[in-house]
Amino acid sequence: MTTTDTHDVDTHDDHHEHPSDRSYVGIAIILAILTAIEVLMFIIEDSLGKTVVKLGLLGLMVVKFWIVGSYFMHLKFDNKVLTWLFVAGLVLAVAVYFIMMSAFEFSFWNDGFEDPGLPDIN
Amino acid sequence: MADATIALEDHGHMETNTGISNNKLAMWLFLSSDCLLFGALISTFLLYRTNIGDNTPYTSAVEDVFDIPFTSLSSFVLLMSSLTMVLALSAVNRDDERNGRIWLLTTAFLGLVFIGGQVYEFTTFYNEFGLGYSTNTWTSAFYTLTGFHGVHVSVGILMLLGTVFGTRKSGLGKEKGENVELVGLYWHFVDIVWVIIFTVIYLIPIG
Repeated sequence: MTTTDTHDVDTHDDHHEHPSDRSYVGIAIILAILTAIEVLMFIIEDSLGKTVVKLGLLGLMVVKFWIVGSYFMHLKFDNKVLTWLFVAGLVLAVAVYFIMMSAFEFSFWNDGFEDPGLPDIN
Repeated sequence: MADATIALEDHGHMETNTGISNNKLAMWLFLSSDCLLFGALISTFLLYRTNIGDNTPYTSAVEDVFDIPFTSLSSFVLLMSSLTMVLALSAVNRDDERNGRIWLLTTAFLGLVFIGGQVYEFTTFYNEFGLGYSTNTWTSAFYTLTGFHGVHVSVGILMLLGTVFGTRKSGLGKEKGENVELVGLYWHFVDIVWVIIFTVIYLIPIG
């Protein structure tokens, strides 16, 4: 980045109004509720089924990630270059490790694990 | 003369041709690259998560050792620390130094509570279940992943305390807004990494 004089640059940082403190508290409450739903899904896994629980938990995780990134990290209000920068790293990481795990024949939906159950102490 | 002067913004940093301060851009670049580090650690854990091996002193699924209510509470604490962090930034941007310091210290305290919880969890794993770092590949992957995250949280705590105590003489006014924002970005990143770890490692069922 080069420094420039005042006439070449119109604004600084594309700053927009950030949410109020009250909004931040509201966002934190939403995040807490989503976390509670996650734990509830874990508890009632047997009734919902593993596939539903896995999809539901992954969906909630993405929503929480998006909320923290957008509002707490201000990506929604900052220069879009920052969003692209972060998304680029994220997509690169997901792609690289998805390929790596595929090479090891990892399947998220059926990892071939059979729970042997508790040991027979008798 | 005016053209030759280097313009400084309200936040005290030089203007750049992208409109983004160099420090902020550098922090986002770092966070973006850190995604690759945690991607490696998470995928390694996923590959080894069913690999209990012969050294585990019990035969049931290793997930049985997780104390989900306790870890949920830790996750809640870290999530709330993100709220206190953003409230700290908001206070500093309003030039409200006193509340800025209080919220920063609260964030550091919540981070310490989280780290305390992690130490308790590791100790319980070792003492009650005999799960050491090299017991099997599952434990190695688990301790490496959560340990690295713990180190990130600890560095964040140091950054928070450094911001509070390093500005005792210079003050923590609006001009320090960007410094607090950078610490905040790091802290929120550590939080979203835990959002992934908590879901993928602790909650998503095996099989």
